[in-house]
Amino acid sequence: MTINWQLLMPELIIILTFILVAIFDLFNSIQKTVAAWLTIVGCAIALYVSIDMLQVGMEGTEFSNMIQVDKYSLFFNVIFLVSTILVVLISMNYLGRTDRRQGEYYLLILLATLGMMLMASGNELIVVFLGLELMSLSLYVLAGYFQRSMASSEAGMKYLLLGAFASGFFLYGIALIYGGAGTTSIPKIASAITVNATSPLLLSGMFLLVVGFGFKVALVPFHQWAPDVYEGAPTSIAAFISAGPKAAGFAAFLRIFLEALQNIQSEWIVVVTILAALTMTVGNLVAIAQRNIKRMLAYSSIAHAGYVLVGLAAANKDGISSAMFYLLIYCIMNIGAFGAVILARTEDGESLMISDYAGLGFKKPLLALFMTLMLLSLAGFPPTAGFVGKFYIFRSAVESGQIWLVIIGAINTAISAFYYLRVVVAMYMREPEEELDFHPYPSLLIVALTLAAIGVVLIGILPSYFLSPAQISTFL
Amino acid sequence: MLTDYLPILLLLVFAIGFAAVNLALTHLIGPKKSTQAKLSVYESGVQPVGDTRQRISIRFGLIAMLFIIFDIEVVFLYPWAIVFKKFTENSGYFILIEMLVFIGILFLGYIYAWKKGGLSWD
Amino acid sequence: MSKDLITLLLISPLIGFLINGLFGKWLKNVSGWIASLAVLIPFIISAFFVFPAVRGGGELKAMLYEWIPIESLNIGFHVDALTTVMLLVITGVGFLIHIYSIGYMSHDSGRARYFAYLNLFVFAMLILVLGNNYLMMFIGWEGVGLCSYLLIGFWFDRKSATDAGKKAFIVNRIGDFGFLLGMFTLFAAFGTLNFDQVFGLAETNTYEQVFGASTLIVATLLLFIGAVGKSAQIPLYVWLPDAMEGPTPVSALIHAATMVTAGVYMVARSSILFNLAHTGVVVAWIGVLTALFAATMALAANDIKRVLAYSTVSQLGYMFVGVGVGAYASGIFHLMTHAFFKGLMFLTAGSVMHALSDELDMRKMGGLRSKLPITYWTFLIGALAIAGFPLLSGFWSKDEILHNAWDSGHQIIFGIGLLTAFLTAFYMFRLIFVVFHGESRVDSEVESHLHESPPVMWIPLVLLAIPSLIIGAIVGWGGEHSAIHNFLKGVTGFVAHHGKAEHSNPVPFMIISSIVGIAGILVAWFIYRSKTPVSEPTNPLHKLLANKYYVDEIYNAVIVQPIRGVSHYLFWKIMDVGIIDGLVNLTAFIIRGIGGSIRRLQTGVVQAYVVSMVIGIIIFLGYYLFIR
Repeated sequence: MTINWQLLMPELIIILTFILVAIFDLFNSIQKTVAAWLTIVGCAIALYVSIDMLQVGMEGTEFSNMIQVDKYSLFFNVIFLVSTILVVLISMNYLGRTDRRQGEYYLLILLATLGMMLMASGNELIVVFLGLELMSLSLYVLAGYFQRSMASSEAGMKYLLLGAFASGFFLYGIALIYGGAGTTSIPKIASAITVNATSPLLLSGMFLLVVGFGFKVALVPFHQWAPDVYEGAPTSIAAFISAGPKAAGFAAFLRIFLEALQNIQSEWIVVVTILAALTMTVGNLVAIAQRNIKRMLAYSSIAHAGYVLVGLAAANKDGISSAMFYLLIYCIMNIGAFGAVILARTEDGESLMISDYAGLGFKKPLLALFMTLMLLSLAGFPPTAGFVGKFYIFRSAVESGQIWLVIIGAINTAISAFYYLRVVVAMYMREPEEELDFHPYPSLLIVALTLAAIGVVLIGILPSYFLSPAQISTFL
Repeated sequence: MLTDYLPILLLLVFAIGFAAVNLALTHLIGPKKSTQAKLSVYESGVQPVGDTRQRISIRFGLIAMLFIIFDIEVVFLYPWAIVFKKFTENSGYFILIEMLVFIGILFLGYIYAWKKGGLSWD
Repeated sequence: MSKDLITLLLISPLIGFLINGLFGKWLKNVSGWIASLAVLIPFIISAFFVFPAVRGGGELKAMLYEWIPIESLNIGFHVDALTTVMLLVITGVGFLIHIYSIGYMSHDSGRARYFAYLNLFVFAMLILVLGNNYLMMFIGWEGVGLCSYLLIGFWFDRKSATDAGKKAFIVNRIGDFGFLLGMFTLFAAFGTLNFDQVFGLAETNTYEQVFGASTLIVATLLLFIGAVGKSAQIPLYVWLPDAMEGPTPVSALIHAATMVTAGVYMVARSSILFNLAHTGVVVAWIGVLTALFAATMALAANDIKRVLAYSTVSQLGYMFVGVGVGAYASGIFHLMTHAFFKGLMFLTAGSVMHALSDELDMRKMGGLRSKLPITYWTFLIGALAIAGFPLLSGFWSKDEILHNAWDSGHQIIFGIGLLTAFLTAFYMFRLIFVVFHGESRVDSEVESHLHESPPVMWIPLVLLAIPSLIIGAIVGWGGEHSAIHNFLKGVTGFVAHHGKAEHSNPVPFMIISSIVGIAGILVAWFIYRSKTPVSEPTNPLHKLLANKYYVDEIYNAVIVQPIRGVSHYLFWKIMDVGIIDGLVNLTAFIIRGIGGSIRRLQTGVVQAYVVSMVIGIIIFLGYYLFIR
């Protein structure tokens, strides 16, 4: 029995980086920024390797079919690694040079990234669960990373309690599926479940998986942790939680539901459609009522999970590829938006109220430019990436006959423009109520935001260069 | 489908019934003579000291957690030792190197926990 | 290969824009040279396109990429002879004007911003002429409008500049609205906006007749409204004279040589549609009336740039006469020669202003001939060219347009055009005599540091003067068989003669227009040789002309004020505040109310969250366990 290590190269590189960072972290004499740079370099190499494997088209299973490396998982690797690199870049200035415990921060981020990669390549419900837990446990700690801050501790605690609750349901779902199909291997489940398998327990198991994923990707009504956690967690971690883990949740969600459970599609499409409509609508409506920009972004990210779910509800090849494409775009623009929030720091900490952004267009033109670009993209204005992303998602749904879902999505897009543009209007058309003393721009944050901005514009103008890899990477 | 689980349900009902009936019976039939010694807190025969609800330092939890982590990892050595001989016949000493890597990582974790002050009380 | 050429051609001004826009602060003087280089590269590429072999025989089509898979939303470009002429004008004249700007803007602290806008303008203009469908054209159309707005209001601390910018923007919006409606009509009728497909379907008469038999008439007239706005024709010309608030090189590039000619290009590009709809006659009449009207206003203007602005409006009118009577090649020919000599004259006017500390009033000039020799001689060449002096470039193109107007049976248009030619020669030489001859009326303080412009400014003048002298003879010699006609043959549709089919002998027309032009020059010489221009107009006609026929005032009284009144009371107070705002507010109120009440569920208590999750789970589980 030989193991094809080449297939697992990205994961191995992340593990190696993890070990290296852990060793460096042991020496107090070494500057803590080294840990961050090591993380970035490791992720960049893994990213390069993933893209290379994606282009070569390396595929295969390993560990007795437990891990399935294919174009699909490699594409998601790209999403995770891009998000991780961006998050580390925006974290470096956010944490500052003085924080002694930074090593752990980057270690946990690496561990969470590894968990995500496992979720995308898991060919077995147990492996998916393992990845999910690896990712989640790291995130619980990261959310409570600011020990001295009450809000951060509260965020970590809430996330842990509710996350454990959801994990229980997820595991129960796996058990029921095992009961129904007699296996936990995704391809074997697919062949074990016939079209007319309608055992209530199997269906309940399927639904409990929806609950588990629904919690991780924050679907209504399993979303309520998200705003509290995003608000309390360090902003860089809020960016992280909202991006990569959500993509990872969808990676496993799409693979399990469209591969393992494809024969009972008609059963789960009902619930997925309802959840998609609910998530988009509730996410956007509540976002309107928010005054805190981090909470607003939290609800906006809930709504975006709803848009991605439309891709799953479409349940065709285009649906998968457009969901993948959308997740790539979403990760970049959402991290960018959170990065812009970090950029707007004052002496008192972060300025999180939307009213604080009044008049920034003239006082801090670069910051306002980044923020505007990201928000326009989130709202889906052409020619930004957000527009093409939504376009393909809705098109795939139209093709599979989900007209009503698309109409709801379109109405929601219009609603969402209201609260995104409100920030833009505040920045360019309102006079500031009080003079806020903003920090000078930190250089690395600007680098990260510039990368995100280039990504958003580039994907918006040249969508096919990014969409076609997604289109050839679907597992269907 | 659900009928397949009927025996389990029956077993469940039987188990609960058995426990409940027994408890009820002892409660009803058994003589009740309470004395001072019988009502006191049972602590393996030692004289009870103070209230049972005591706050315990979180550090116990930390140490216990570390212990469990390393304990469980070491348990992994047993199955490895059992199949060791069979694997060496087929693929040489690769399995030994694997375990060395595993132990190495475990050791790194141990040093990490140590250096980070996970093992010190203060 | 060809695709790469187009990409490089398009992308270099964009890169120039990005460099100047992002790093302008640190570039200082280099920014102008970077911007110039960014236009020189496309010019060199365009020069290659002159050889049909580079274009693959005739037409080069390059689908740059598919944006999203919807017909006619794709980023496709094509290069044919017509595009090549436009490319050469835009990049050639544009390059020289960029160079000139380096000198002209050398003392301005915002020059990086200036060059960034200028490069962005070139980029948008290239998209306009390169696009292979109406949508791409419209994107470029809007892009140049935006840059024009930004550059007119470049000195945003002057109120007049920002007002002029706004005026240009609003007036252009009216035109753009027409263009947009025209585009919708075309899309409704043809189901595509791709030039090839639209023209092909139009010629074979296989399209949806959304407006019955007059579908094409409606479409072309709506498109022409767009051209009227962009190319400053009656009644939407009012923004162009005000646009002179921008820096003078901008007036030369955008408001003389390139952007304002976009309307002419569009009509020429849509020649097949205009021919089929027979709407060219409208175009020609609007053109010739504008030509005359603007020329009369130029007679009484005292602001040197305004004279040139009215002259531009007037010459644009000529071009529309050309394309309107079906002589598309002649219209484009005049567009090209005009770009050279009018660009030249604006730049020389800028040179005069530069020397006189930004003085614009001709009454405060005079006798500059000896002080600014290069400026004088180059301006004289430009003026002779526009006046139609024999064998200079303007002579050939203007004569062709008049000749074609006559041949196509529009004798009245020919007559008005001839009168306009006389007026053109007259007001141009009035300007020359007042500014460069006679006694100096320059303030003594200004006069003390009167100087010729630096080489970076006068070299472009000379380089523009040369084509103004000879380009007409080179490409226009031989009438129907001239180089320009051969070059453009087949691209601009067939030349439609509504009247005679045969061409009449061009020589008499050449002689007539020469005589008219020279007469205008002589009359100006008699009147203004030594006379000081009056400061205040006395006779009523002069007053009427000096006040530009009171058109701005009439528009203000007839259109702006009533609309404002109606919009204030009817639309704003009643409709908007009362009904629409009410509805919007009601919707927003309801949505906000819903949002607010859902928000209440977000109590922050973990147990409550668990309860809501469990309720969700129970509902769905109940569905799967019992109802299904």
